[in-house]
Amino acid sequence: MTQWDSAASAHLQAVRSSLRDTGVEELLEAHVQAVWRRNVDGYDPLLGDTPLSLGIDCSENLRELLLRSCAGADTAWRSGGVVASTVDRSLRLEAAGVRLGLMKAPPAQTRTPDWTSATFHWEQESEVRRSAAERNSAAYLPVESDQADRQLTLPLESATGRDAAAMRDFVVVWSGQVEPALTAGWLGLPSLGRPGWFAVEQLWWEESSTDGARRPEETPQASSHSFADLPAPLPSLRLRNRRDTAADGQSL
Amino acid sequence: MSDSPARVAARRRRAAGTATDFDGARLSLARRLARQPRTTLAASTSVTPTAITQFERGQARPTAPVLAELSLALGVPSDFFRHGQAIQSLSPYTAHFRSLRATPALARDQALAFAELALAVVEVIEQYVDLPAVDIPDHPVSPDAPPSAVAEAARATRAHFQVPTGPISHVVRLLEVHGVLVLRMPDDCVDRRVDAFSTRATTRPLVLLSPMKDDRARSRFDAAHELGHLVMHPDVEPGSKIVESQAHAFAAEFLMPAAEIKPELPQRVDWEQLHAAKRRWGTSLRALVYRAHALGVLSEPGYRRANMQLAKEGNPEAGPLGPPESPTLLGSAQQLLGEHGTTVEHLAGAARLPLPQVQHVLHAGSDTRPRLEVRPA
Repeated sequence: MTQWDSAASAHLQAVRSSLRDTGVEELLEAHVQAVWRRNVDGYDPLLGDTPLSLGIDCSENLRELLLRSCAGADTAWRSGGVVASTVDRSLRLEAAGVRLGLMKAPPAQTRTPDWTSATFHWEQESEVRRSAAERNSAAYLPVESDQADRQLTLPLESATGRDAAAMRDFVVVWSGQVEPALTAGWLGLPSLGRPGWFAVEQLWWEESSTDGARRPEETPQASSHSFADLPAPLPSLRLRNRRDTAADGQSL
Repeated sequence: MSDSPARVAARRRRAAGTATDFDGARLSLARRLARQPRTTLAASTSVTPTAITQFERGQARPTAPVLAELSLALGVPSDFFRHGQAIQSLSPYTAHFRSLRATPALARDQALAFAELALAVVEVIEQYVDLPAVDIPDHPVSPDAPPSAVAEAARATRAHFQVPTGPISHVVRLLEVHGVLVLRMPDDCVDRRVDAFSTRATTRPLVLLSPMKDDRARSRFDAAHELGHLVMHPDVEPGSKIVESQAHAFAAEFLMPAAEIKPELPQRVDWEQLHAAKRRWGTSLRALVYRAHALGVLSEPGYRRANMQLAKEGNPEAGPLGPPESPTLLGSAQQLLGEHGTTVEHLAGAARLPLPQVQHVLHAGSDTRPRLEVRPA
């Protein structure tokens, strides 16, 4: 048994390939990173900012910017065949024959979300996200799923088949850390029941060689242009000659 | 009528005769080095605080028994009080102390006394060795001058010292090359709470560095800060926050010229880039973060977050650059004299100063691994 349903994972990978080929994945990553960094720049806990308010601001910015990009003359989006719209103020992107929702993972100690958390129990989530999970669960009815811990709350009365490729609703989940400002993103197939995903796959993970000011290892050697490589001046000293000393009335 | 015990004691002292060779400045020096107020010293001798004041000012001389008491109470031989190498008096009003208000007066007096002692030792050394000529430029900056005046003073000082573009290799040695006497205060004979200080009110400009800052980046910034006082504030009353801020700004521009470092500073908190700048410029992450903010490269929230992160991680700061910069001048002079047969004992004798105190001074002005460049006479 695996964490994810293998048939759903295969479908996810196929869709992900399409998104990558059409440049949609790269565009999403670039927008998320830019919005996150800009908001982190202005993030100031002393002025009352919280991780939640930071996430909300980013989500609002992303929705507006992506809508504008798609509506405008952004050829990159156009060539990717992306259509953007809002449903109940939530952003919906349509590309590569699927629907994409965008979701910021809740603030946590790490960038990797806990996929089993209540945040992803779609029955308690917004209408938009719950509907997406319902449509997937109705399209794909894995009676004998190989996914670990899947609790089948199905069958749904509206269920029509058992083809994972029939699922059309995806969610791009992204998360960010403040110091340094780095993001990560995943593509997931939401489902009803527990866990709330048929499958999840990582899209990007920004790397940094250091987290925070403290470095775990010794500082590497300084560059050739560093202060330590420059010759240090030495004060010049000269022994005063005997005449100087005698004139001063001193002797050694 | 019988005499009171005090009267009897006074008569006995007078009968023993007053010291004919007595230097009040040396009593003051020894007392302040021992961190004793006059009242404390008087309590361990048979004279009053007023009498000690008179001794120190040269208005009276102690008798031989009192001299012995003073000697015992202050832990110096009686010979110490005889005239020898003149002691330059340093006023706290002419020395720029970092954390002036936080430094207890006794600790400050003790540090100043150590500086006076060091100047006496240096004057004796200068009878035998030509030390670098004093060459500190004058760029007076008043406390109400704009920040541009401070930056201009720092740039002019770099130009005066003929420092090429880029980082400065060794700030302390640069000061020594230009005639500044730099000492690292010995933590076993100066209160550790005393931070760095400097003065130009002496024959040779003086910079005393704190023994507490065991970090190269901080020692470089401290030395540059004190240089700022020497260049900008020779006649400015020490101690105000504005004057200290100006010295900080001077150090920042002196070590990290705006035009050169600005392109190397991150626009957002990027510790990798800050560490690279730290290794290149030899300044702390804190100084770099401050600089990035002051130059408008780093936003206010980013500056605050970076400082919160640095505060959370505490000291010592990450990415140490090695031991603090140390002075070399006195160690080199000692070595040169030793090679020509003049020992520390000779110097102590010539200055009429106790050998341990001369050794303290020489150690404070020496690197652990001194290097010497001798010009033929």
